[in-house]
Amino acid sequence: MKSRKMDVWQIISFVILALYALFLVLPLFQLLVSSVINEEGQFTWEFFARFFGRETYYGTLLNSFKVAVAVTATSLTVGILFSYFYSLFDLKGKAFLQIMAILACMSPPVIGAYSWIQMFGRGGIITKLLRTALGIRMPSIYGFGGIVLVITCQLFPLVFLYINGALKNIDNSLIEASAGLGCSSFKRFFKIILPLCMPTILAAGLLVFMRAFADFSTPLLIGKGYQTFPVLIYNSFVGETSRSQNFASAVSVVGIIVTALIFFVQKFANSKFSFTMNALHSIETHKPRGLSSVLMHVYCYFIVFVAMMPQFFVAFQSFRKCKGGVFQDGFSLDSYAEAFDKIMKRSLPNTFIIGVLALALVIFLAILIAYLVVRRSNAVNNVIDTLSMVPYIIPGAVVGIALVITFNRGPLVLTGTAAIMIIALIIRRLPYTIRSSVAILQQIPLSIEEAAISLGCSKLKAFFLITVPMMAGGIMSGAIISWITIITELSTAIILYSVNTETLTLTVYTSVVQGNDGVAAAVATILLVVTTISLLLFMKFSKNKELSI
Amino acid sequence: MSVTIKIDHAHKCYGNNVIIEDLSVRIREGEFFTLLGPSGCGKTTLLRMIAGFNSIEGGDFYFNDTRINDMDPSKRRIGMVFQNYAIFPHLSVRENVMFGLKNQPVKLPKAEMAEQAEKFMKLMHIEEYAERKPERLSGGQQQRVALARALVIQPDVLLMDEPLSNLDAKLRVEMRETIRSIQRSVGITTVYVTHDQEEAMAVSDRIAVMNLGEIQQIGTPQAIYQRPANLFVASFIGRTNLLDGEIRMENGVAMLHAGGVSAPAATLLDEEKKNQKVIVSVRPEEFIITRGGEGIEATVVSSTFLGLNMHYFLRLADGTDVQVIKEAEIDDRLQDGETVRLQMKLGKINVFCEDGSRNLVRGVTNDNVRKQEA
Repeated sequence: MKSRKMDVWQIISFVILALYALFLVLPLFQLLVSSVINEEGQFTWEFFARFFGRETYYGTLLNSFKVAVAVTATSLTVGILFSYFYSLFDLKGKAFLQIMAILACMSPPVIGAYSWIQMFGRGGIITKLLRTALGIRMPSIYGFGGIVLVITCQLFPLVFLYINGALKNIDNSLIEASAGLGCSSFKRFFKIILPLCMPTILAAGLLVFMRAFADFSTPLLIGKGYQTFPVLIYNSFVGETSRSQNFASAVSVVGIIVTALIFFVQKFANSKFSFTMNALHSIETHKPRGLSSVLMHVYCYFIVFVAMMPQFFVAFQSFRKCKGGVFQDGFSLDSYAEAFDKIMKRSLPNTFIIGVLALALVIFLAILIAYLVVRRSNAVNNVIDTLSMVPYIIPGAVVGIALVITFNRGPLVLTGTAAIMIIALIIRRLPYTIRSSVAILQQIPLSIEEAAISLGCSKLKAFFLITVPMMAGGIMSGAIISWITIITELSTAIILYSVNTETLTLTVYTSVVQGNDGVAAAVATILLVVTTISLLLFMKFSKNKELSI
Repeated sequence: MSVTIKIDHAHKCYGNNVIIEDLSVRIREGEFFTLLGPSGCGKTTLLRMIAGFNSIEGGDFYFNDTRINDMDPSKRRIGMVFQNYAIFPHLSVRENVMFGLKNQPVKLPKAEMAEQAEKFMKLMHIEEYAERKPERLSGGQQQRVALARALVIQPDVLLMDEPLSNLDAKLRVEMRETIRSIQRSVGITTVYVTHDQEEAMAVSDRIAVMNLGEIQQIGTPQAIYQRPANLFVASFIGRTNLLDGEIRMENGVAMLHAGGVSAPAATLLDEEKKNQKVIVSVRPEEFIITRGGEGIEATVVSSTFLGLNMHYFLRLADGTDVQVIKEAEIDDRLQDGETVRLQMKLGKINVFCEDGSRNLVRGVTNDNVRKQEA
């Protein structure tokens, strides 16, 4: 048995392992090294000491925690209630509610904070209107409250989608049984439905917490004095004042440790609640009556309206007259004209080239890795499985920093190239695509592939001729979501981009920073349109309409 | 072209878990050979070792004189039919059948491929569904597609892994006739795995009864039913009643004592004619029920009318429960509680040594290689 020639899948597994070693393990190691070795090459705890020594630094960790906890609480509350009304009652305009909720969460994150400032900021259009017309002084949108509001608007739809899936798996007989045992509908929600959804609630909670904790663009724009952890990382890495790569590395290491801890706490909590459900008959929806019907509709439409307000407002702004970056009265297409000149040259082609390449590679690698994990379980592939999930808990900005530290000198210099942007996007998106590919592959019986082999196919041919086409449907619906996440990604890109690799999201960001509001609004609207079209395509082509985030 | 399959000292284990310790078997050219046994006996494992989907930890596998241990499954020229059909769901019936032809090392001309596919679809009566997607076919039709797909490449060996277990009872009977007649007409060496003994009897030339990774007996369906090599085979194939008994030499004649009666044990092997404890295996149809007269005393507990036969459940004086099958007569059903006598058909019953490992009766045939060597 010993001298059998290497199976093609063994070669693939070693290549993938090597890629992970080079683009994930090495950068993380370099990050660790950089956090404890100073420029003179001496070992030191100085950078960690600096972080824990000053309140302005370690306070950001606390701030991020507060933000993440608050966002998780609000998102769960808003999302669970929304999902409960949506899944269990016949509301009017259900499809519209769903699309709006998904759009709110899929639209480019940078738009949210920017648009809220434009509406409710110091010079915001609504702030002014309220003050002059009604004499009302709005509470400040900046700081903690604003951050929580904006991120909640973006993340509650995740909870909504997760809980919808869980509610679909509750068998109607459980509801009938509880009613038969004398449980009122109000009591039922807390005694039966919530506990049955607990595993899903925890999973959704973790996802929201991680995203809120690592969210970067919102606190950067709307935080003002309220500095969060990712912003500190960014500022200490590229900021004008007190710039230090070592310090940024040390902060990043702290960040990874914190998120890893949260991850394991959630894992532990989840194991306490895990059970499987499979509904023969999903819960029947009821027609709401009277006051409760009105309240439910008001609630759902109000939530969706608030969540989508920034997107609509940005689109509105983009058609306003704008001079020298400042909006004037009246409407025109000038912003688009100016934006077009700017983006046609670089960011639009960049977005598509980088996005398509990253997406293609993500899908390709995810399929191969899923296959290795499901069908070729062995020590090497288990390592790959674990490694592939590591980026899930690493904040985007940290991925960016680790890559820059590793590839800005030495034998392989990638900084400033499109390659490094693509690599970063692949690393960040792979865990999600692998998970969904694994789930799809587990549904396909092994014997199908064996049948192909028995008919004369080589192993690789059987995989590409039979297994991949069978996975295609599921992969494509995941791919569109990946595509949207890729083109709207900011937190990693902002650290890695150069003039030559600027993408649409980055153009929105730089225009905002430069105070060029017209261009920012126009580009943001273009990005919004691309996202919306992608989503509608997804809705049209995916059979089950289930979104896997 | 059909082949002989020769397996010498096959060994299979997963880590420390040994599935097959040491198994040898010869499968003749063109025969329908069935591996039969309870779940977990290693029958599917052995089949997948022949196919090449399971690794071989020891021993030698030959198709004719070619050692296939390290040969890729795609090169073994096998046709395989799976329990879950394993039809490619994204290809039409015709594309499924053509798939193998397109992937052969030496490709036929296109026209001939189409002709071959057509021929086998006709043979399996699926030509009318040729352009359909498999999801719109019933289980039986899907299995026909699987069979056509496996046979169209004219493999040397046909391997079937419980191909009928997902079908309903009626289709199962119908399909096993189809499989049997197709195999006869093509004349291909076939290895068939099942846990259903009736199915095995219906289709096989020879059956290998397996238990715990070992072959217990290889023989024709008739041989293993009438003269099982050991107690396991006797109880796994068909139904049987077991009575504790004794062989006693009386005046130079071996007498069998069981159930309180005694009879001359004429069928016993000469070397076994000595005083010893035995287990007597009497199949339900090997008892004759009489009212009064000679025989083992028994009380009717209950009875079931099954059309052709009456099925009686009786209790012997020592408390042993037995089943007896008797042809149903008009107006002659024994009443519950009635006392009757049971006589054994002495020529048909089997007698096993006390631990059940050997049949002590003449006429046992067992092609199991290891048993012959012993």
